[in-house]
Amino acid sequence: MEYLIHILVIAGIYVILAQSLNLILGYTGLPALGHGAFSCVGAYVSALLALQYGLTPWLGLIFGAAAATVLGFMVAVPCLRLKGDYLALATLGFAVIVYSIAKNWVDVTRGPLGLPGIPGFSIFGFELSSVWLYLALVALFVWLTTFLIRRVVDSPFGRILQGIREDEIVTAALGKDVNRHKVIVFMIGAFFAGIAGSLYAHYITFIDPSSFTIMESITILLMVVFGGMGSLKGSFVGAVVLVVLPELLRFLGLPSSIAAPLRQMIYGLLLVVLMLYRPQGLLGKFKLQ
Amino acid sequence: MAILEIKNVSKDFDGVKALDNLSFDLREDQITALVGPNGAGKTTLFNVITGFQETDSGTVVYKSAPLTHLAPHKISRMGIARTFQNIRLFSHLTVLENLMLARKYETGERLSSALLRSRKMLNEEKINQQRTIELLEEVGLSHKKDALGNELSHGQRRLIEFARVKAMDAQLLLLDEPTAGVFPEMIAAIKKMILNLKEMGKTVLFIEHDMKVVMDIADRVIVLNHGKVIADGSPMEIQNNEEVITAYLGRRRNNVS
Repeated sequence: MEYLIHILVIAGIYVILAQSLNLILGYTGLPALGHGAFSCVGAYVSALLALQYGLTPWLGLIFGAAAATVLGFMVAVPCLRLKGDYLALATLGFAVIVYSIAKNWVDVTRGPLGLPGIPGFSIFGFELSSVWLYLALVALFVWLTTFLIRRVVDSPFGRILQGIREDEIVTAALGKDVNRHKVIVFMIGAFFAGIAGSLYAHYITFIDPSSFTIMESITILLMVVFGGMGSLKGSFVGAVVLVVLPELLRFLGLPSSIAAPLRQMIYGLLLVVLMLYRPQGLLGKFKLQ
Repeated sequence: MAILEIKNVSKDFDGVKALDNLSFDLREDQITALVGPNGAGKTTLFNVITGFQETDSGTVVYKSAPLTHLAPHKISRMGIARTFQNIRLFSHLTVLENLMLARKYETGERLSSALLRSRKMLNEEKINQQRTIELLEEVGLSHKKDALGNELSHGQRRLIEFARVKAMDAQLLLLDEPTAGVFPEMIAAIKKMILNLKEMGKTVLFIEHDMKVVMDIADRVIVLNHGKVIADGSPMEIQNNEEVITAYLGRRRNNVS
């Protein structure tokens, strides 16, 4: 049972990641492939503050999210000139940079050794020790993320984002500041990814750079595309399915040397089948362009 | 009074002069037609005025304010609206959303209003929605308000585009071939709408290939060729202008013996 709850906690964290990426990718139409980098920063900032300065994870979460937001700004501004594939490549490159920093800035991050013993969340001095409490915590944040992103997209502000996705030039011609909105959207997306990273760090209590590789960003991307771009429900379903599905393999009793690559193969296969039969994703309205 | 002044504007594309030291003023409350053969620089001029292309030299002045180096959205907010030759509605947004995006918002488009779902935002949204539906009724397409942009016929798209540019409440409207590819009955309707804009005190500059439309509604015709004004006057004057006929039909071989 605990194992099942654990899977759900992880799925919840991915829901936050997928929904925040969907805001950038699905609603605004910006192919950002480095979403894992934002959660990496959120995780490391939050974990280091707790380990080095004994900061409570609650505050660490806020600082982690803030740091990710700043990074979102720093990525968005130079990327404003880029479109389509170029933007995708630039954000991918950025994810590689963040990963390399986590891996090589040994003095701070301890490099590949990772950061063990990250304290968990506590309420009134009692550390949340059971996975049930973490499930409740993560569920709360999933709800908050959905609620806030829903508010963003269901507003005149969100309509501009969709205008940018459909036709940037016309959106500008209608008097909307396209660049400003792109930057804000990157910052919002990064903010929630930072929260997800911080939740992950304090839940697992150990992070190392291998949790934030390019594959991680691609997985989040896959969840968004699978669930459907421009659909928050889709991202929810996409994240849950893609987290739970590979876990089912364990029950087949395959040795882990086969199970791990099989997981990647399933992702690949799913994507191919999806693109063939339902290019807009499970609940989406738009095709990946 | 001149609402728009084009002053010595030049624009080069790899050595081809799209606009060649072009100058003219646009008077307020008039319908001006911009005509000329393909490649004469008409759309380039629109792009320059609306800030989508920088000039190589020269300035565009709107209501005594120079537009040089201003971003397109800022120029748009100053009261210059434009349409596009190939219509460009937002395909995956509803007709209503297409028009709502054209409305001006004071506060409703801020992130904070969205997050707090402020009363001000909701009010603004309501007012804009009402106005948008009125505009849809004017073009007779209010029953299509929930249809997606890509679910409309070409003629309907033209009308929605027209309603969208009107939704911007701009003072100066630049229309790029507003009657291209529509039925004759629809052309009549669009002509009426353009005349209606003038009655509302708007200034219209429109690119048009259909000379009948130009003759019917324009107060003034400016003929461009190779980025230069080759004729400028009332429709009657233009009709008999030797240079215009040459530009369109080629030079007459007068001295063939």
